[in-house]
Amino acid sequence: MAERGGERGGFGRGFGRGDRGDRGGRGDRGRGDRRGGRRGAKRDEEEKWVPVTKLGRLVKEGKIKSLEQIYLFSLPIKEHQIVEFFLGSALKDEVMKIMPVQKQTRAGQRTRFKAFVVVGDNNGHVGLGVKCSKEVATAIRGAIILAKLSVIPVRRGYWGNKIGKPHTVPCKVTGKCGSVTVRLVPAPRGSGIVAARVPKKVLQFAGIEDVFTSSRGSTKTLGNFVKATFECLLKTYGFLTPDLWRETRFSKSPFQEFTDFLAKPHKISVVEDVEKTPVY
Amino acid sequence: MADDRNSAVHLSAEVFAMSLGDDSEREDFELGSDGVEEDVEDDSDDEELMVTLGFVQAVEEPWKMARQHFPCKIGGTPAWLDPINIPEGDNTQCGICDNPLGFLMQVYAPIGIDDVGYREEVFHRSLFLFVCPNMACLQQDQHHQLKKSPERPCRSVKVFRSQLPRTNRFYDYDPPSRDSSPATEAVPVCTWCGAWKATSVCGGCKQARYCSRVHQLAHWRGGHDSFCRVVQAELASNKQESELKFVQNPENSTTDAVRTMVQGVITRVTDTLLKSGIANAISDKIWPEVELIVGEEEDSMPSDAINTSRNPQQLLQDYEIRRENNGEEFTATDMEDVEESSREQQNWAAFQARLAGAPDQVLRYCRAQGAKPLWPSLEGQPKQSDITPCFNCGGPRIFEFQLLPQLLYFLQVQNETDNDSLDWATIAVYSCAASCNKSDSTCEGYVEEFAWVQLAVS
Repeated sequence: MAERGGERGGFGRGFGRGDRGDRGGRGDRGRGDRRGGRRGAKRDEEEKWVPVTKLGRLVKEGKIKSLEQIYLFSLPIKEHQIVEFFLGSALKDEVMKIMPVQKQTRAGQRTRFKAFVVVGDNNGHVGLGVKCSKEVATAIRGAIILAKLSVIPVRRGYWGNKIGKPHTVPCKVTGKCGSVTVRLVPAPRGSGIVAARVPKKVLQFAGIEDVFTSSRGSTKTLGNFVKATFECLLKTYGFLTPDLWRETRFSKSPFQEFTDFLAKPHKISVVEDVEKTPVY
Repeated sequence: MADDRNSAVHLSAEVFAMSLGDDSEREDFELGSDGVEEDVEDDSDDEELMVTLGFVQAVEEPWKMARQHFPCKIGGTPAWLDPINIPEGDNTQCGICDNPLGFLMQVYAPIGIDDVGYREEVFHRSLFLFVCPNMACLQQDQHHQLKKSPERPCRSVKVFRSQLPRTNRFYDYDPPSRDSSPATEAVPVCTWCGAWKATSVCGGCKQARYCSRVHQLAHWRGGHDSFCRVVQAELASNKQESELKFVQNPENSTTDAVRTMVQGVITRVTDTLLKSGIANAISDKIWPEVELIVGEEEDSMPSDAINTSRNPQQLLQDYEIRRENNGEEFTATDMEDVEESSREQQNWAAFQARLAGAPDQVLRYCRAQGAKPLWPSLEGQPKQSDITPCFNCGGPRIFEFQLLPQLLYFLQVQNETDNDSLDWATIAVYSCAASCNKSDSTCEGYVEEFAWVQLAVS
């Protein structure tokens, strides 16, 4: 009879300082190769995702069909894997800028790096993320995640004839944030994106090819210029154009959708017949 | 900053070179506090405390779930450490709906010699966590956990702690072998839930025992009504044989005798193996049983868990190449417009980053002076005054472990509606710092501890 526990606390495995020695046989169900770097296939990564929020669990189970369903009900997306799940490899990312930010401390200056990353699939989804961190790689990593969390849907339309793919905004939209107002105006093909540098990048990643922009307010000092652009893009879906005149059929929120079968009282399942047991 | 552009260009070359090749943490000789800046995430981790993680694993060897092997498990029935003095009465019920609580998980957590509250005579120590499966109760519970009135608040989440010295009347002095059974028998538990002490017996067959009327009703409707009548009939007809059998070994004979007698009954017949240290439950409402494995938190080199993005290093290189070819695309003044995320979002991002090293962890254990739980959300955190002192000895409580929402995923909690399914952000358990005994003389019995629930913000 091997004496596993010491005089101090407990037998075998347990939490606290009891004893972690038994982990060797059990605990390393593949955990050992964690340090070996991630060379696994993409599928392997996706399976590794363990959702933390309710929306994440619904997505993982497959109860939600598309990202648009989530946007429709304005549910906050808190896990970037949700966005990856739907958009997958179409999502491209790019570092816009790495900016060292300094703070004066008693012992000199403390430099951290601020990373700006834009992600988009050139097909109606774009997001922008900002992260500040002591190391560049950490900042970039964090910014990518934040960018994915802020992905918005962008609607595109035509300037004139409806031939080919939509290439510009469907109508004139304006977005306001603070004192800055940004106005996006449809442009004919070949005009390109006529905008300031940062919004231009954002619009490129959204998949808009031609657009005229005009801005008002103190875009230089008060900032939030990009936020105004985002507001604009969001509004593209809010505008009622003739092709949307057909009546909307309201669908149920993902959280509500599966309530129907639970309409019966749910306290104790009355099993009179084995066949009658609700199977779900 | 006046020379922003210059300094940016000037510094970047060397600083990039430094940071690219070197993964080590830079020492920050900063004397000022970080509270001035909006630094929700602390890159310089002053967390020297080691956190032990818990992972879910399917039960490979069922004998290990018996109480004499001191298991750490989730779901199923509790393997009570002290099998006689199980909590009873109000302690077993949800403070809000008065239904019996469901067993969620237990940990075997003895205290080491370097830890807070270490005592020679405390050798075994376990904590048991119970939750009311009704989400409405959990939402009401939020108000109750804030109450600081002297009498105990009505909670829907309850934690019980039990501890024993090495020489005790329930277990052997030495570690048990595989086939051993516990030294003493346990008190009979409810046949429906397998968790609480059975206070009443079914009037018809006298076999099934229950902890409460609710469970008796549930079992009756869940198939016991037909079974009970059959047993009664058999009892009446085979009076001599069956009576003898039942009197001698009420538990063991249930399977054999009944199986032969009752052939066509569609009921799950589970015998309460009280003698082997494992209790069985018939209810299908209890959570599936899985084992809880102990693991260590690695210094996460998480990273590259982002499958669709390229490596940050690659992105950085692309950026550098673009800068060299085309010059600086965006100035700092351009970028001033882009605002950072709110504090709540940053806190959430930090929480996720911390989990990234081991995304399937379900429990974080760290019982030490100054240990703090990892909060997913900024609001709903308890202040020091919210943690009530120990009910038993009046001493302070310290953080012991917390449960993470990944557990809900592993338990396959139904996510259909937003009101009925359980959902929380984290449950943090605080236990008596001195790990006091229930009474002065013996260590037996269970002390109730404090659980703080943080719900998900939607």
